Amino acid sequence: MASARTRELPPLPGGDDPHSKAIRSAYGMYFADEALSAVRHDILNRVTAVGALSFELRRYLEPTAGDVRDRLEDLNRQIGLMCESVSRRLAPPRSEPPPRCPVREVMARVAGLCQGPVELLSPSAAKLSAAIDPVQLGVALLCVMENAVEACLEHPAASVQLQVGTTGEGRIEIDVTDSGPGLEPQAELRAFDRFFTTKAGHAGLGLCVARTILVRWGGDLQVTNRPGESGTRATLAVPAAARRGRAEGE
Amino acid sequence: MKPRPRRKLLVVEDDRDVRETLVRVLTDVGYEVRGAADGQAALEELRRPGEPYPALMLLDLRMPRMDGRRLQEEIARDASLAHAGIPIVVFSADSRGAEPALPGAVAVLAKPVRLERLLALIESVLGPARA
Repeated sequence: MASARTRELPPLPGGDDPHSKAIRSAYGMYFADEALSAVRHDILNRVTAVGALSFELRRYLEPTAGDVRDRLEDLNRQIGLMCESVSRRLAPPRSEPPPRCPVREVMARVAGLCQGPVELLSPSAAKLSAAIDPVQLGVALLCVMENAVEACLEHPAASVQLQVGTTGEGRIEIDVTDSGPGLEPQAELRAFDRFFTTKAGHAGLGLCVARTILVRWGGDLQVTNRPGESGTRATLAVPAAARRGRAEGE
Repeated sequence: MKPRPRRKLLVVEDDRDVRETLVRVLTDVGYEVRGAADGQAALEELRRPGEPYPALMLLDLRMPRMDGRRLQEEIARDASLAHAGIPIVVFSADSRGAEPALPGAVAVLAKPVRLERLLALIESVLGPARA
């Protein structure tokens, strides 16, 4: 990933501008959505198991089993209705067509929201646009950044670096690296398990929220310990926005 | 006529009740079925020496340790597994498709999965369980 290593101050300290406020206010909503997703997943699994058991019972009965078989057919019909109802009412909101997101601007705003030693790099990447909603990218990045900044708080010499580049495969990658103590093996393995946390008072949802958002937009999130160095590297991948044609004003 | 060998399926699903019920029902229908509790266990099953690859994999996306997406990436990285081209039926808890399907998936079934639909889909990919 090409980047110029130039230190910059966060351009919007305190995050008082409307875009930073939008990211901050959406943040809680996406945590609630992630918790709801966990509940939805559990309910759908239970309905699947009940439906499979009913199917199994009907197979064991002879066609002449009369009333019992009829009642199981009724049960199966009710399960079918429950499947449709659960699918319809618990489905997550549909994503809108991807807008153009000014990636580095979002990075600057999120850096401004973080209270910690954050170094914003890649000044030459100002024109990179990604196919993702800017507020949602902001929420995903904030979730990742809060982990990284927190990892550095008890280590005075540690800091967080934020840079961006393209992969040449139509993807943009934002790297968040910290020089904190790194993840314990168990935490690295379970980084994306909902409600898994090693920190008291945390929900264990932040990285899940970030990943859910990125995956919905065709991207991904990887979090690993830095090989040969202390600290972690989180890579947020998002699809690059399609280039604008002349008709769109370029 | 010589009976056709049973088709092997791999069910990768972290919910034990769902996994065990699917393994039981699909075995009863006539397939040879293995279960794996997450992507890591599925990889170990796929790499077991001397075992033929499954004819079809049923794969949940959300799993602890290694999820469906990571498993698909590992399969793509493994020359032998990638060459085998095992068809994948994805189970998704997202019925409106807001979560993009895995590349290489032949079908996506929204949870709750209905057995009638699943069996018809497996038959359409592999043919009947028993000749």
